[in-house]
Amino acid sequence: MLKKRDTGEERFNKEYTELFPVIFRVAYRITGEEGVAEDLCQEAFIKYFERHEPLPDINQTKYWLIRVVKNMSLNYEKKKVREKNAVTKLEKITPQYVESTEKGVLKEETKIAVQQALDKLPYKLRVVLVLKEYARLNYKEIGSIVGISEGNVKVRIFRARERLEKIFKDEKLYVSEG
Amino acid sequence: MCPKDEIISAYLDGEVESPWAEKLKIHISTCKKCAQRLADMQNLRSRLLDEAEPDFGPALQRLRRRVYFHSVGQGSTVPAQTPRELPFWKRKVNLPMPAAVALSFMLFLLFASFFFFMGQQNNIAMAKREPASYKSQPVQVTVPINGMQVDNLEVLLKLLNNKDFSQEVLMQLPKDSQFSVFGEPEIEKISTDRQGE
Repeated sequence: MLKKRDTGEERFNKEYTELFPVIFRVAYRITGEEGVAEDLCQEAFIKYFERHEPLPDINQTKYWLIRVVKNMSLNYEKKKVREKNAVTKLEKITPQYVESTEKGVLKEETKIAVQQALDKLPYKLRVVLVLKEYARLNYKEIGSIVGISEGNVKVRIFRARERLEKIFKDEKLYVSEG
Repeated sequence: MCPKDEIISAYLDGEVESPWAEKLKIHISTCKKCAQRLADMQNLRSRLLDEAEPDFGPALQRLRRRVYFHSVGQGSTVPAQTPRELPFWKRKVNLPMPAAVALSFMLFLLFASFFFFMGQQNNIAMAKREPASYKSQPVQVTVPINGMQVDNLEVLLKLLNNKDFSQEVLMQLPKDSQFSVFGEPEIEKISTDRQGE
């Protein structure tokens, strides 16, 4: 009995310590919010450790957790889009006020943060790019997690890069203009 | 001819298979435009990875405690909550399978022997009881010599025993009588004794 407990504790320490950074990083980069990333990580790890059967190797555990985090992040994204749409409606009602406020904020920023640029990407492109760059997964693994073909992963990653480059270029133009 | 940017992006990710990867490598080494495209994508990657991330150390510790107690800790040395005492009739007992089999076999033997002995006892009791009831069966017999009427088999037997003569007597037993032998058959014994006279 004691041995069983120890094994569970050892397994927990090993898997949690090794996988937490990558899972948190993926959750943070997809959602752009530390608090949300923390919630997603907590839920994903609890779900995993409540499973009766542990997965045979740590890589499979990593894919499993990333898949859960990715699925849960979609709900958050939908909520964020709804809120964004509500803000857009508000902007239409009071255009002058919002415009002047936006200009004021942007003038203070000299350089756009990477996370802000990622947030500007559509969810579908952001997820695959994050899994490539921050989880270091290959196209096959990404395809399996997201549920799309390898060819589709290739296209989405390229488009995400293209869009990010454009976002950064626009930022440079804006800063030089400012 | 230059490859599409999409192919260069896949090459950066190591997703172009041989021999296309080698051919692409040679092409990029000679084509300034493609080399620049690859360099741009590499710079983008560096920018994504080089930016300082939020310190997730505190979150790691906070969640470690929460996740551990919520899932693993429940069955561990530090339980998340003390188990509630169950009422007597809802308590469960863990019993090894061989012990359970042996126990059920012993219970079976106990019940089987109990019923067996009970059956034996009944048989003995019935054997003892049957002649009495047999004797007390009401009969209607008319003895032709003295014109006596006897309504009890026991009386009839005594009468026959005491009288110093022999007489054919026809006895009709009740129709619902069951002819099973219990104990010593007294009528048969009497007739045997008579033959000896």
